[in-house]
Amino acid sequence: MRRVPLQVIGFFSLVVWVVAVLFFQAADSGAQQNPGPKPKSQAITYPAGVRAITPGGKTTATIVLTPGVPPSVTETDVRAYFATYGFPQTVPGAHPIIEKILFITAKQASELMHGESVGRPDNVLVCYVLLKGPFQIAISGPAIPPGHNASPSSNSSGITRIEEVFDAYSGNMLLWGTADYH
Amino acid sequence: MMRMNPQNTFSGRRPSGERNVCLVLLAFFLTVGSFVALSGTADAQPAYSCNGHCYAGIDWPNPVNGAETNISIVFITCGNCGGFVTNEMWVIGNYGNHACPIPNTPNVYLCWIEAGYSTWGVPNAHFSNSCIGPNGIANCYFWADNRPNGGYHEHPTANITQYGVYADFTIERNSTSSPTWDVYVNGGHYQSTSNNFPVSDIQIGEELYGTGGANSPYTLWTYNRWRSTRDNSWNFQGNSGSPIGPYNPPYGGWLHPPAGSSNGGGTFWACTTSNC
Repeated sequence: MRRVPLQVIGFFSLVVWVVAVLFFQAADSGAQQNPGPKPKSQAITYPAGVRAITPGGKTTATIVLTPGVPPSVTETDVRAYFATYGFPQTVPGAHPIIEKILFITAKQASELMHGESVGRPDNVLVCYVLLKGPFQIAISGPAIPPGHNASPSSNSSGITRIEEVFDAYSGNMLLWGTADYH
Repeated sequence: MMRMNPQNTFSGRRPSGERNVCLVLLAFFLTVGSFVALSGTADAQPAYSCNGHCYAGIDWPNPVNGAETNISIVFITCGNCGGFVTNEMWVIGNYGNHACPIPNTPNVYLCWIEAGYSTWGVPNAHFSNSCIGPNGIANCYFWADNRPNGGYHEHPTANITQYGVYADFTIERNSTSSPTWDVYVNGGHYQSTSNNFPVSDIQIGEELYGTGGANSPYTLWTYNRWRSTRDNSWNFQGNSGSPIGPYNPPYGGWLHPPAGSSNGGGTFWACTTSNC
């Protein structure tokens, strides 16, 4: 068998190297060129949410925005979801429970959450769940503004209650939050 | 007696066979080294101590009716890190007002609205399964608020399906209803309702929580604007603001500081590794 000359091997290695440099430079340059924002939509977006409960074991991405449609999610589905995936992280030794599972309109859920937006038309059904902890979870938040000296206590008793809202048809999570005002 | 071959003596010119091997080895290591260096995937993620939250960002102190930024969308990861990393913008106010307690942070009070994108680890500190998309990736666009007497609520809006692009994030007071804010996240339009607080600052940047495992590659914030309370006009940021951190990690700083209104509000960068 004829041997490939070493010069040929070296040449092709060099070509591969040049291609690699050009490829990664191209990948970076795409993110550095911002064409600017597009015009903003005036219509409210009803998000699909993110995967959570699977009603009856079936996954669906369908969004129902019509009032009065019976929910696909059941209380059994909700309990199965928490039994499978667990609760938010609790303080050591806590035994979390599900305090409420409610199939109510988005407007009613918003009122329970002191006016928090739900992401559905007022009269469309959602599944509201209230959990009792106490919980010890991290939330996203801003830095203390410069010029303010914050000295937070390191002793936190945790978050007593967490509330979650799911789409009553797909089972997707629409939002979750702290409910210590209940 | 062994006779030395004159061609093997050190005369400043190696035999052709040895030269060829050296060239091949050089090309080979250049190739491998380039892939390793440029892909950035061979570096082990360092541990960090960010259970008190770490940041690389900018704060602009001023009352405003809105804020906007465009953030480059990069493949952020958390895996089993137990924390998170986010790239986002905040509109904040009511510091010290007891109507705005920060959950899990006693004696600190602040209200805000935020918009950006984040990891949700699997499993994570929140939920075991929130934000898993059909592609199995746990990265989401989201917005959240901490409202006066309303608590903190987080809204994951969609899984991220496209990287290497810019997404627009805008938070602005609704023109017809002051307790309502319009929140725009990558083309979606949402509202933070029953949320009336006086704004004191805009912040942009990267937030890191946990003790290791999260990774956010090189990310850029551009098109940084603020909305006037006087006439609702939109204006590009004209100054560098005050730095938040960097805590190293995250690392960050101005790539191009704002210069009047001539460069689109400046370009800020951040990432979680020191060699990004």
